[in-house]
Amino acid sequence: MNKLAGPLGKVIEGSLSRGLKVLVRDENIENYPVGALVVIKGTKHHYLGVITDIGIESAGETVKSFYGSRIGNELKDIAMDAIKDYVNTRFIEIALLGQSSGEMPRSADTIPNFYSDVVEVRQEDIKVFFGEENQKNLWNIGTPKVPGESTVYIPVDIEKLIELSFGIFGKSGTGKTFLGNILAGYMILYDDQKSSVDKESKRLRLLIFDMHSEYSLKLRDNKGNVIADGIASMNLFSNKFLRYTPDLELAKEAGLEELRIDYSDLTVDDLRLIAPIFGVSEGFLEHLGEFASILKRDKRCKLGDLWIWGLILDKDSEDKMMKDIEGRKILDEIKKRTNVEDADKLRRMILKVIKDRLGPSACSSFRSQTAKLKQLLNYPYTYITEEEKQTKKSSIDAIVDNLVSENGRSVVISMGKYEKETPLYMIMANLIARRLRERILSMIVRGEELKTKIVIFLEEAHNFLGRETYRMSPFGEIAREMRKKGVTLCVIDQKPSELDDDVISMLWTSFVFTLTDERDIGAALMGTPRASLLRKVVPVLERQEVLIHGEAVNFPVVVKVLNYKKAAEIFKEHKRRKLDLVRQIMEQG
Amino acid sequence: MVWASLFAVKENAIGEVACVRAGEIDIFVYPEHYSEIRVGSIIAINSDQVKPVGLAVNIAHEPRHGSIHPLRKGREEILREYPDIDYQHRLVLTVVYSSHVKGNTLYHVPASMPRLHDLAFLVNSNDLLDAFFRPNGEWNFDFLRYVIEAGAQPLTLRGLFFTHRDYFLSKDPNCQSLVRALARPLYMADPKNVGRYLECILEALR
Repeated sequence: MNKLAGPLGKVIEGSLSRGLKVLVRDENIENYPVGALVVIKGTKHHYLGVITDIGIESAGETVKSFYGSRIGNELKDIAMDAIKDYVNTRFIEIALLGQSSGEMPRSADTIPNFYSDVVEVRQEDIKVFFGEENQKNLWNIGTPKVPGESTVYIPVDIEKLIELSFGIFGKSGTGKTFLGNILAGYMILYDDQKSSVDKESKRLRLLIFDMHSEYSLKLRDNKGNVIADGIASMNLFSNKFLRYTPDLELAKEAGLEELRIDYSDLTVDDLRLIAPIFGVSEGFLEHLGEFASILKRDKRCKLGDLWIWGLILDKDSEDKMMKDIEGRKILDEIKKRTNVEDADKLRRMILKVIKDRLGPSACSSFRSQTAKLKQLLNYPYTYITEEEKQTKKSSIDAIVDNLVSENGRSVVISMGKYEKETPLYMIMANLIARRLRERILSMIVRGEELKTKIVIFLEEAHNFLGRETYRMSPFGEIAREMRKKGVTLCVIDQKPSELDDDVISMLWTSFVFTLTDERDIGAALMGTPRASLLRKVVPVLERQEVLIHGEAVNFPVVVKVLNYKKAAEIFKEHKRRKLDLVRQIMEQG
Repeated sequence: MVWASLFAVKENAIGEVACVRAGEIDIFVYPEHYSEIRVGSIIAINSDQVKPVGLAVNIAHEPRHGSIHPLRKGREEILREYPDIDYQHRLVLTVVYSSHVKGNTLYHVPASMPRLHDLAFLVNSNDLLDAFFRPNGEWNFDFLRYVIEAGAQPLTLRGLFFTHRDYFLSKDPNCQSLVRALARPLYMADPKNVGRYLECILEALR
C-alpha cells in the first residue's frame, strides 16, 4: 500500500483516553501526516489508529552544550549532523479507533501491549475495519490518509447515511460542494440499485438548495473555473432531477424551471428570519406580528394574504410593479380588496390605521423601516389568485408533488444570479420546506404513508438552524419531527458552532473538512469517540481531505475525497453496467 | 604488520607494567624515556596474547623511598653530584585501557589484562597512529568512550590532540572529518558536554 517497509515504530506509552505514544523508527518524521491511519499489532488484537500528533524530542542539554560552545558554525553543523539520530527521538501520537481479533471489528476498549509494532495499513486491514465497496449500500468515497501513498478506498454506507440526518462542514473552498455532489450521485445510484431489486422500497428523492448553482449547473474550482457538470446537469442523471431557479434569464437560457415567490405564502416568522439581513430594527420586529394582523384583517386594509405588500407598497413600489405582469396582477388584486386606487393613498391610510391602533411610536417605526423591505421587489415574485388556484399549480406545489410522489423526481433549487441574496435563498427554502412538511403531515392525518424518502441538502444551514433561527424555521421542525417520517437533512455549513446544539446532536454522520475555529471544531466533532484527540486532526486537513465520523463509516477516518471527474466516471460505469444487464435480461426474454 | 614491528625490539620499550586495576594500567617509565611521555600519549603493551593499548591520562613522579629532601641545586648540579638520582625516583604513567591489538588488528575495546612487567611501548610513528586512530582507514574514536568513562576531562582530550596535533592536521587540515568522527563517541560517553569536549579539542588543534 505504501513504500515504507517494516514496522513504523513501537508503542511505548499511553492510554485509551489520552492516546498512544509511539517511537518512530523511520529517520524521516516527515513521512507521518496527522490524520493518517495506522495499524497496531497487539498480542491479541489488531488495532486501528489515527495519527493525531507528531513530534521530536531532543536531548536539550546536548544541543545547548553545542550551541553555547565556541565551535565554528560549520563544524557545529557537521557534529550535529553526526549525532542527530542520537539526540532526537521522533514520535507520533495515535488515537485508538477500533480493534479486531478475527471477529467483527469494534470500537477499541483495550490498548495494545507495551512495545507493540505499529505498521502500515494494508488493503486487508481496510476491508476488515471499513468493509469493501459493494455498489449496493457501500460506495467508495476516497482514499484513506496513510503514511506514504494509498491505493485503497474507504466506502461510505449510503443506506445508513440517508437514514438519519448528516452534516458536511468545512471552511470555504475545502471541498464541501464536491463531496455533496458525489454523495448525491451515490444516493441516486443506491436508490436505482435498491429499487431494481426491491420494488416495494421507498424511492429516494433529493431536495437540494443550491446557492451557487454547483449541483444544478457547473462545478467550479476556487478560481471559478468550470471543473465538470454538477450532478443534476449530468446527462446521466438528467431524468432524475428537476431544476428550478428564481433567475428568470437563467431559466430561459439553460432550460430550468422558473421559480417565483408568492409572498402571500410568507409567515411573520419567515419575515422575522430575513428582516435583520435588510437591517430592519428590533423595534419594528417587535411590532411585526401586530402589523401583520392589522394589514390582514383590519376592516380598512383587508389585504388578507397580500399583507406583505401592505408593508412595502407606495408610489415608487407601484411604479416598479407596473412594469411587470405579475406586479400589475398584484396591484389589481390589492385595489379590488381595499377599494383604494392610488398606492400613496393606501400607504397613508395604512399609516393612519397603525397610528390609531398601535400609537405614534409604532407608526414611526413602520414608516422608517418598511422602506428597507423594498428589496423584496427585486426578487421574482408572483401571486396566484383563488380562482387561478383551481386550475394552476404553484411551482412550490409542483416541487412538493415531485418529492412525495413515487413517480416524481429529485429537485434542485439553483439560485443563479441571486447566489449572494441570502434573504431570497431563505425565503425560498423556508417556503418549500414548510409546504413539504405540511403536505407530509396532511398525508399522515389522512392515514397515507409517505412513499418516498427525502434528503434535503441545505447549504448555509446556520441561516435556518442557528440558535436564533432554529425554533422559527420549518427546517427546525423537519429536523425534530420528520426523521421517522422519512425526511432527513444534509446540513452544510462553514460555521457549525453557529448551529443549534440540538441540530448538531441530530446529525449521525459528519463529514468534516478543515476548520480552524476551536468552537467550530468542537461542534463538528460532537459525539465522536476520542473527540479530544481528533480535534488536532481537523485544523491540518488539506483541501479535499475530510474527517468522516458517525453511522456511515465504521470508524472515524480521514479520507482524500475522490476526484469529482473520477466519481463521474464511476457513476457512468455503474449506469452502463446496469443498462447492459437490462439488455441481457431483455435478450433472454 | 606495524604492531609486530613496534614490539619487535624490546629495547624500544619505554617502561613496564607496574600495576593493573580495572580499566587502568600503571606503567613504570624508564628514566631515559621520561621526557617522551605526556598526558595524551598512546601506550601499547606487549602481553602474551592480546596487546593492550590505551591512553595516558595521568603521570606521577614520586620518590622511591617515600619522601625527598630539598637539595637547593639546579638540575645540572644535581646530576653531577647524584648521577643515579633518577633511579631513586619513579615515574608512573596511568593508562586507560581502551583498546587491544590481536594479530595485526586493533579493536577499540579492552580485552585480557596485561601481566606485571609486560613491556610498554610508545605509539608515535604516523603508521602506528594511523593504525590506532584509523584502524579501518577511517577515523575511529570509540576509545574515547572508555577514556571519558574513566574520568578524563575535556582538558585531558586537549592533551591527546595537542600531543598528536601535527598528525591530525596533516590528515585533516580543516578538522571537518575529525569533528564528524568525534561527535558520536563523545555523545555516547558524555551527552551533556559534547560541545565542551569538542571546543577543547579544536583549541588544541588550532
